Amino acid sequence: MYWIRQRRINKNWQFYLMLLLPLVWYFVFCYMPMPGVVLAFKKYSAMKGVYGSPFANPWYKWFLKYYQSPYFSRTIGNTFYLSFLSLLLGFPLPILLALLLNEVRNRAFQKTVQNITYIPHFLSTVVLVGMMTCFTNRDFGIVNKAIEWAGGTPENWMQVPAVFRGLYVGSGVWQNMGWDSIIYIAALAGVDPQLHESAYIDGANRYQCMWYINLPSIMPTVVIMLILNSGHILSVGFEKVYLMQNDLNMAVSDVISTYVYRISLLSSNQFELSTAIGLFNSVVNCAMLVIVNSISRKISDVQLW
Amino acid sequence: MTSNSKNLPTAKKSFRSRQSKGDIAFEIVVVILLALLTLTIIYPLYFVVIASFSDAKAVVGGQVIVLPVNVTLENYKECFKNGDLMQGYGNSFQLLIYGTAIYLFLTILCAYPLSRKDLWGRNGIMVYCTIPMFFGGGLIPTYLLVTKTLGLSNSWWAVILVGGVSTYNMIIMRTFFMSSIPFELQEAAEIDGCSPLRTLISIILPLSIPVICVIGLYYGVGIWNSYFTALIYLSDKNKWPLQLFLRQILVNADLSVVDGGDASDMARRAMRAETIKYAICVLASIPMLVIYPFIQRYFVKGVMIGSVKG
Amino acid sequence: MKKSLVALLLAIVMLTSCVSAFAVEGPAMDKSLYPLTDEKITITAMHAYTDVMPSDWSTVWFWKQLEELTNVHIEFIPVPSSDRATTLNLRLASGDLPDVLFKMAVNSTQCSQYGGEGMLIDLNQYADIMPNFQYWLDAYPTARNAVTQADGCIYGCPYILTGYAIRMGSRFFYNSQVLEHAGLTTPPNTLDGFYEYLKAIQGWDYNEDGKDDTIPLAMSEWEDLEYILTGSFGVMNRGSSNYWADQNADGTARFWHTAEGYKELMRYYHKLYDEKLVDPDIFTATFADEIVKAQNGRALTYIFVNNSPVSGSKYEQYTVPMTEPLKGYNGENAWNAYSMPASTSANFCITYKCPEEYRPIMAKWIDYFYSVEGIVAYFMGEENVTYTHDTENDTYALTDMILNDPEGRNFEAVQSAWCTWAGGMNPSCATNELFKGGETWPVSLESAAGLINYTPDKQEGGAVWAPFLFSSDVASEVSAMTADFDTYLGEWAAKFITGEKDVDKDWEEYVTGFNALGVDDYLKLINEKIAERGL
Repeated sequence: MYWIRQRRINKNWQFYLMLLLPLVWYFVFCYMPMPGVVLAFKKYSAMKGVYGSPFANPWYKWFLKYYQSPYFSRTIGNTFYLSFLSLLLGFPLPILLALLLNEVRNRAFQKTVQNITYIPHFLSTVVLVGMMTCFTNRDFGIVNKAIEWAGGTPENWMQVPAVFRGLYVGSGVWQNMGWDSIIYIAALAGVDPQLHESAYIDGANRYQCMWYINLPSIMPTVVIMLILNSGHILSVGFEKVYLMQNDLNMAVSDVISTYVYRISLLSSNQFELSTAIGLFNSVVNCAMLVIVNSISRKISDVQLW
Repeated sequence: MTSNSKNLPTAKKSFRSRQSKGDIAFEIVVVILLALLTLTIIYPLYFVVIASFSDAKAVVGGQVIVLPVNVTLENYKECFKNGDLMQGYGNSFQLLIYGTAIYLFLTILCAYPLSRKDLWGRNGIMVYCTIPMFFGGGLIPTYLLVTKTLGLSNSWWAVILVGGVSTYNMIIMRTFFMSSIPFELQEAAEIDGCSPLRTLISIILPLSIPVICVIGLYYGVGIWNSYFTALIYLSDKNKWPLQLFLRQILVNADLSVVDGGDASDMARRAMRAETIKYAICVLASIPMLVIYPFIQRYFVKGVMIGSVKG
Repeated sequence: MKKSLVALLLAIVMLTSCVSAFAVEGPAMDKSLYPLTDEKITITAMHAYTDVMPSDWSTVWFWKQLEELTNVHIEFIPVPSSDRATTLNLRLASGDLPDVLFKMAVNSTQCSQYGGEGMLIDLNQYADIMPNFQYWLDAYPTARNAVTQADGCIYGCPYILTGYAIRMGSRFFYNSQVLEHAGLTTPPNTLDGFYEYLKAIQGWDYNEDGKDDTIPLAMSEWEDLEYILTGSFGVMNRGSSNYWADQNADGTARFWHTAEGYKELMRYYHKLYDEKLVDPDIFTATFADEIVKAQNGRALTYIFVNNSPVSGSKYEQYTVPMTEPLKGYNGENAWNAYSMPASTSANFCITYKCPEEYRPIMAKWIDYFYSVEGIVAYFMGEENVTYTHDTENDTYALTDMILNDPEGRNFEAVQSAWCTWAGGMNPSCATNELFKGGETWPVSLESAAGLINYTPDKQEGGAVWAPFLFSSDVASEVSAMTADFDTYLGEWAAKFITGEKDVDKDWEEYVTGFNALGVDDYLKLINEKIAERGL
């Protein structure tokens, strides 16, 4: 048996070699910056670097500053609000789309619709916001031209705070609905046709089939996706909000990521504060993930780990 | 997945030979809803395209609705006039190719060993790879690491490596390896004397074309559309990817990129600015949209296998 | 015969005395110093560029001739001005700096912080080899105060605006035809008069394009109008160098953004906005938009530092400048949008990355920018190509090629192939005679000459404050506070102006919110500075 064991060792050795490069990458670019969060507890000095800088006095100084800042409730509130709205609207719609697409019998129509819904996903954030800005331009935009034609007054919609959330979430849904539905379409393909047959025999119509068979069958996938998404509840992406932000809608558009960017890179270099906020953000996200996973574990059989 | 179709899955309703009235009504409603949705999605895109081919005055005046007015290539000519945009295009392509290659390389090298059930320490390594998904060092520590310690300031390596391997994609690939490629096949190869590396190259890779295409597309779109990492690490304008120039034009309304700082007749320029922006949107999105149909065949299969079982 | 001879002599004497009054002030460069080094050295310089100039400065005439003169080769690292702040912050934080920073507007907090840590080099040690720089600092003590940090070091070279016309701030530019339509021969000079004027021209299709798109008053930022109105409401009474504080009658510092006068200012502003007398897009419009509106005749009145928005259009000839501030309701008649000769931004810094033996060379290198020859070359370009020098009267003028471009391009764009001064932030001096940007054009000069009579130092008991500088620790606190003030003000001003919040009902909320950001601490620091300087 010696030669089998020898083979085993040989074999494993090669695998570990293969893993070496990616693991090194993870180490250098993911783990090495991690201790940098200690910056959240220090008073930064550029010459001494992150690790040489002295500790802040008291150690929770920056967290306290954030807590006392008038932007604390606002940024957290806005982030949560935007995230939650995105989830509320953006989560069910792809599922619905997948279910509907599944019911179409004409292959050509189905394929066309699917492919069309995928296209917006390929547009970059810059292009998307650029398009939105062009469309809502007071003087030139087609949205305002349509409003004028219908008898309303044109408005620079990107400036109106009440509309900001709608625009943000709406454009997100528009862009990602098709792409996100792929997973559900794939899951639907795995639904046992026998279930449909027996339902049909029992007299169910297509609507009922869709609702009572298809949907429950893909529930596991749905729940997993929900858990994964909840782990991002406090991380509204920086890029899109930043591009859409301006003075007028700041009260609703100021989220944690843009606030961090503003205080660290734009005006005052409060790097410690921004790292502290980033750390706080990560911790909350982790907590949410764990909580939702445990809830799911208790309620159903579906869990992430 | 038993059926090997490379096409999109459809409902298996072949046993329904007769449709009840309710069923027909249902189907009609579904079709209408989907048609409306398609219209909502396609019209803005369509508008951008026709506006980019239309005369500026007509677009500004709101005359362009269904067809382009006074079809002209003026807007595109303006875009090509300035070298910066073309440079950005070239840079983005290069970044796309190098970046996707590097990411795929790293992802495959990571996913394959982890797909082997007999690898000791597998779970620990999985956890090691998953933690960074939720927890990171933050902008400043990463920036300091990249520029100070590694000295990669103003280099494409910084942009590529910082983005890096996505654990999510790696998991998809690993799941594909685990479920679609029979372990027996790999064992047989071993017995025949294949080293793991050879197994990877000669057996696994050819069978994994679908998932490689899909993951490659995921990475590619990510690289093509990102701008923030490039913004903070690249100070040399000659190295900028397209998105950074786009941001200047579309969001900062800085048109110097297009006409090279020529402040001629600003009124005319501002009007043309709108249509030029549309042309730029089209130009920026074309590469991705062109590549997509080629990869589309492998889509659902690859995604489905990865995520459903993942 | 004798009489006429005497008369002639007298005339000559008078003429020469006039000439010397116009003579360009400033130190001449010491030609013996050049080239600065025998062997060519290479220095990396990071610089910001604006959208009217090429990004690659090695193609610009000024830099080419400078390299020949000094034998110092510069490797440029261009940064678009929109990304300047971010890039600067990142570079300073990581310590990844080039040899020198040029036109990067390093603010005083950064100077004191990073300079204090040794990342920026103290220029005082080179005072002996920078005679031109010292000349200006001596001639304008406020400039010296503006850049000398609490630790006594000077970490960068400021932009010294000696010409008062350049420090006047943005003002209204009217159109004679528009004034006529409103029944006026001269611009209005009271708040109510201005309001009536705007109402009178509202809705008039001046540009005759058949569309109701004329805007009585256009600007590129809402703050533009705020600055102009400060004098009329008795706020910002110590000039604009210290934007957040002015002084009470009893000598203590005042945070004028929460004062009664400011409330009235917002009330007036809201009135204008509400009745659509002001461009509704002021919160998202850019300067480019303003130019377009001015050029199209849509903007009947506009706000800027000079009349360049209409230059080249058919409306240019009708320009009428503002020469007096608007009288306030309580008799206030002041022009407070006036700053001191130097701001605290350091526009040239030698960093710790510059090799030690090169630092004195770069100190001498920047000194050139403060000599008359340097100023002329930097701001005006090549003799007899972009400007002409009338040696008799010692005056300079830009040539036709620049001012009347056959393709109709703006003069800054044409000149940008020779000079890179546009956009400010220059480590040099802008004097009335040698600065040929729009601020010294006849129309703008006329305006400035009128407004100079109303600046804070001409008011009873008033003065123009030089910018305050704080020690390193305090400076970072202050900059964090003012950043918060800025954001807060931006949002609330937008709300008051658009009417989302009512000036009467919600003022308390606004004031409380502001105070919560640390106004009292800020005022305490200012009061200390006042006591220190005996103001």
